[in-house]
Amino acid sequence: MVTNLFSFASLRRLIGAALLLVLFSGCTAGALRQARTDFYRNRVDEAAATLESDDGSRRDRLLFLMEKGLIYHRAGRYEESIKALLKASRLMEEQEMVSVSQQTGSMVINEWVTEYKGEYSERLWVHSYLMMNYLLLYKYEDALVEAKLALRRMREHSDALKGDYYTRALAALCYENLGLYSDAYIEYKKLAELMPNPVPAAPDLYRLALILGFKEESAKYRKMLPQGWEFSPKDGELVMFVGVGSGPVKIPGNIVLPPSIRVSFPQYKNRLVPHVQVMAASGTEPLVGTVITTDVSSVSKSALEERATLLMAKESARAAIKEAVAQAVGRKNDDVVVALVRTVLFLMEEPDTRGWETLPGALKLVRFRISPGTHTVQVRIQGGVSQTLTFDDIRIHPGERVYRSLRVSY
Amino acid sequence: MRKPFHAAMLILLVTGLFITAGCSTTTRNISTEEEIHYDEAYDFSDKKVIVDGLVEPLIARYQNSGDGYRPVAIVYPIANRTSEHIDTTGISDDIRGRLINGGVFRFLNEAQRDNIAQELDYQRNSGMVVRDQIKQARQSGAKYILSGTLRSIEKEEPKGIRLKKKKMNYYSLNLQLTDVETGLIDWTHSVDLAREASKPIIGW
Repeated sequence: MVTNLFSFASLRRLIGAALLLVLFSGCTAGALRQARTDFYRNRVDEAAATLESDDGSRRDRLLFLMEKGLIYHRAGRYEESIKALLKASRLMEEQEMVSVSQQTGSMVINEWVTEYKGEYSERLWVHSYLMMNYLLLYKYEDALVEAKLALRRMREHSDALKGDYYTRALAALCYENLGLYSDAYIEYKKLAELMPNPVPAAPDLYRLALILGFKEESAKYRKMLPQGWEFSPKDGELVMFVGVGSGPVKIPGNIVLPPSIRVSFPQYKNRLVPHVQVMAASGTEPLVGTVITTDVSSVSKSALEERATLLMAKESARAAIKEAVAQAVGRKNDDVVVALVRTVLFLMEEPDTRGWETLPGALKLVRFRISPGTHTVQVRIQGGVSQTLTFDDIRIHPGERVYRSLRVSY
Repeated sequence: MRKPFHAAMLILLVTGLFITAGCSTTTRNISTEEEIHYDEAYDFSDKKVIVDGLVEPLIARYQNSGDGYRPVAIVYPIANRTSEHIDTTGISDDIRGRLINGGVFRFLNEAQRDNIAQELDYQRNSGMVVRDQIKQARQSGAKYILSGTLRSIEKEEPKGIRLKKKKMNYYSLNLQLTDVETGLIDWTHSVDLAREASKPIIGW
């Protein structure tokens, strides 16, 4: 049986098939590449059109849905973004089951033959973008559902995802919108404990401590309030979701051992993320605000690191299987055939560098206090491509919030 | 020589039939009374249990007030505090329908308020024959507000070496009837549901 399997004729077919696999694995679908290129060239509508009727192959479906969701979000097509991201969310649940057939294939070929399941961080940001979409549509109950799902993911991977201050602040805001002040307070408090500098969370903690009647806490957080910040229950808020620059991309990392053992693994490479300041004014009056930022690159790296042990164990097992195959071939064939087989197995060892590439490098939750009435707000972005944006007709009712989303490129 | 050939053909045929049967699309009507659950999440069977569990005690409470007066109520949205996107208007619509048909309450149609105002405005200002115009100031005011909250608690087995993973969902819908005049809660009741489901961790 072994003789038949490794006979020259069988090997020729095997090598031919393997070469084809090498050619096709490690490739991202053309539509996805095109959509990403358009997205980063500010041709958002073209990017959306490219993915409009394409959910990709089964193995790349999650990636398609994530990219589509974010592209639609940037295009301001929030309902469509919700549809795509809810599909992604359902798919993530289905993917909790480990497929024996895919895993068996990946043990001999590489990870590209498996369905992309998303990094822990990317799975979290599906819920973050859903939260943003629902808030932008003022669907507060649905936003809260996503907040709960996001917080559940954060609990599951508490170490890897603890640096995502933005999503936690967004979840707290969702609780607050529905008058669930105790839950909101708990999340803001966790946020203040996790952040190196808790000052940006202090105004919310102070405000909620007052509402909940926590006298000592309100006194404590009052001391931490930013300069010029005064609490007035009548004030509304202009809440801005600001995505900055480009998120990290995965690149291949390799360890090569003689005679031809290649252990490959994905690693994140940062892309340009400008340091950005967001300022706003209504007429000539500057607006006081707070900013809570998540470094997307850093959280992505933590999430990949948490998976690294599992990843390296699988890589090592695959390397051992491939070496066993090469040695079995060597016992029945001449050196040229063995060299050919080793070359093919070496080339097949391609790390899975798939990832959600339209994510920004940083996510900023910017909240400006604003008095009730109708305002024309000028938002000035400093850093990256500095720009001034004008938001006309911002109508603020007492104690209510208005939401806007924007992406700052470089 | 022919026997093995026939046996092989038979095996091929049976395998083909199995594959075809497995891949074919099927549809069937199912009874809405039948309790069916595919997983631990909220479904239409739960809605029925919730509505039944709330409507019956509410009807029983107000049915025997004696004077035959059917108080006017308004339904406010049932707040969804679960971790699932559940359209709770389905629950409130069913409760309202059952209460109207039970002859205990009358309900204001809040969703049609703007349309009613528009229609009245049209009748007054469009030159309509006076005798056909709807009389004004005849609309009823609500004596009660019917409101509720759907909550859930989800739990799943912690990570471990196993072939199946269990998940448990608990749902509770609390319904309240508030007297608009006094602001007091006149009636309240809860229906609780809990379900456990297990899913395989490994599949083909």
